[in-house]
Amino acid sequence: MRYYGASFIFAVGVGLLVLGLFLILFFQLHYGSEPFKVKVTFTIIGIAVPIMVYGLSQMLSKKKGSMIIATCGFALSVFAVLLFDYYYPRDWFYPNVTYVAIIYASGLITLFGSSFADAVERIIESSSRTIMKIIHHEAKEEQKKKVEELPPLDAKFAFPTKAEGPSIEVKDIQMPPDLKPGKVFERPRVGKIVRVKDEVGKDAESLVRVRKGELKVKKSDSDILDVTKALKSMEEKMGKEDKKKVFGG
Amino acid sequence: MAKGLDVGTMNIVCAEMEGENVVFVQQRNAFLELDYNDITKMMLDNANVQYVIKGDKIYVLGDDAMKFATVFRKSTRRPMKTGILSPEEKEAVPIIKLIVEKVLGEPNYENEIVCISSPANPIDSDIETTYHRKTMEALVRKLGYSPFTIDEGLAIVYSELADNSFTGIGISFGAGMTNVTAAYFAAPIVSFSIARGGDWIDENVAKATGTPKEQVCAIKENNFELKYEVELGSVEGALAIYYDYLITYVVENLKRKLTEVTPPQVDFPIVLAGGTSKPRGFKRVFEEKISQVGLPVDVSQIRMARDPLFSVARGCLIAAKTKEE
Repeated sequence: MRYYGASFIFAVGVGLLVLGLFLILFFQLHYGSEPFKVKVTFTIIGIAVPIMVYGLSQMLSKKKGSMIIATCGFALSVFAVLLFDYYYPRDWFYPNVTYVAIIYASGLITLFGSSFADAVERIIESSSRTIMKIIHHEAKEEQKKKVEELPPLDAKFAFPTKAEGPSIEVKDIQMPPDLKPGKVFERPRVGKIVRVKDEVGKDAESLVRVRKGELKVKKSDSDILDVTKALKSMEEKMGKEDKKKVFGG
Repeated sequence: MAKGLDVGTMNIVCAEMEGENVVFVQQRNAFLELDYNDITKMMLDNANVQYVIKGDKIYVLGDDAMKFATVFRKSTRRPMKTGILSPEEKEAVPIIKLIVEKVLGEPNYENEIVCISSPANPIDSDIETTYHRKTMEALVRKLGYSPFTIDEGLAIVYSELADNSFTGIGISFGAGMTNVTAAYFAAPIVSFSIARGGDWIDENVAKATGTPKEQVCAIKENNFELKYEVELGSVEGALAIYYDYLITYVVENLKRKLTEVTPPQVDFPIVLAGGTSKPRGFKRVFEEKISQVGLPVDVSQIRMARDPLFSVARGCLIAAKTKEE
């Protein structure tokens, strides 16, 4: 519906422009023409141009912001035409002429600018669709080829161990031949980089010691109590598990 | 040298040592599809945007995809869903390969050790994580590394609980899943995941309030505070409701799983990590839920990870360093 409205505005602008041009010929306008004829003709032409551009802008713009900018531009141009009507012919001299011309030009520039921005955005954004079926199909086939049946689930990783190589050899995941990385991907690494002073090495050593059972020396009474509690609970747990093994359940 | 790699639904993070520093390289695990034309390509090149061209499409990758999605009011696509490679996304494997390649970089030597985070099998869904885990391993191995995987929750225990002899509970509230591991002297006694996370919250809030998902996510990530006094009908109100629901759900399932294993009677600190745990007030709500539900272990402390986004990658790096020759 918006497009019909915008097209109508554009058509009205074109109509008025044609009418204005026709009046130039009809009145045979020249430097000494009657002020009334000049006023009518140039008011029509002056209004026609912003109406046309405003119609175009309404067809292109989707955002509320750009619509507001276009409306402001249109209002400025119309205001300039009204000023022309007010000043002409009695006060139509410097600096009034300059003021009117600047206001009119500003309005038109705003209108054109808004339409141009909308047009560029449309070109960039234009009609994004889902990936072509062929590409989907190719990717599916590729995946099927590369990842065959996988070995059964391993038990949970009690400790990190180097992953056993899969029983089947997985082929390298080839990038599709028509895939061209942009300039940025020529760099060896890409991403947000954060550097933090950190004692990872110390933590890794602690982890190795804990895994080997080389617990840190517990000195305080509470520490000894903690370890005793831990050992007791482990003992109880193991006892329960043994009972389960013997008696079932 | 060794590297830790956190492959998350929302972010892929690599951690490695560089002198006395740990360097984290982070990239959003997302892409945006645009129609190809010369103007777009020129614009993207000038703006140093990460993209690839395939046929008549341009795929903008990583953080840039999120920025462009907001500008073009489009939805980004994700190679992963609910913690694993998305079966609905046919471009998932090539795209994730490209992101992983550029986040990990070249190996410093042949067969450099890489520890990759992997989700545990969820207890509330029939999602199976083996395909994802094996694919990620194969992908990293082909880059010249020697990979192995550990559970995401265990990575948090490694990262945050060294002072407690790696005894405690690590919970990763991610975008696709919530991963939980309770460990006793570095050995996991309970490890499971829940197929709900930040995306689940976003989807439900979007449905409930009629707000686009991207907008909900932006509100959640920018200054959202979790509190009990909420304005009904607002996005913040709906977010608070679904956060509360998720936390309750996680705590109840943690209680159930711990009851099944009879945990040792020692103090268990709890560490919270992951992007979904970042809103202010999250820890307070979690503490309240723990005191309401009650766990069959002595919870000595509940705290946030030093850096919730990088905690898993750091834990993976620690695990990888223990495997170095």
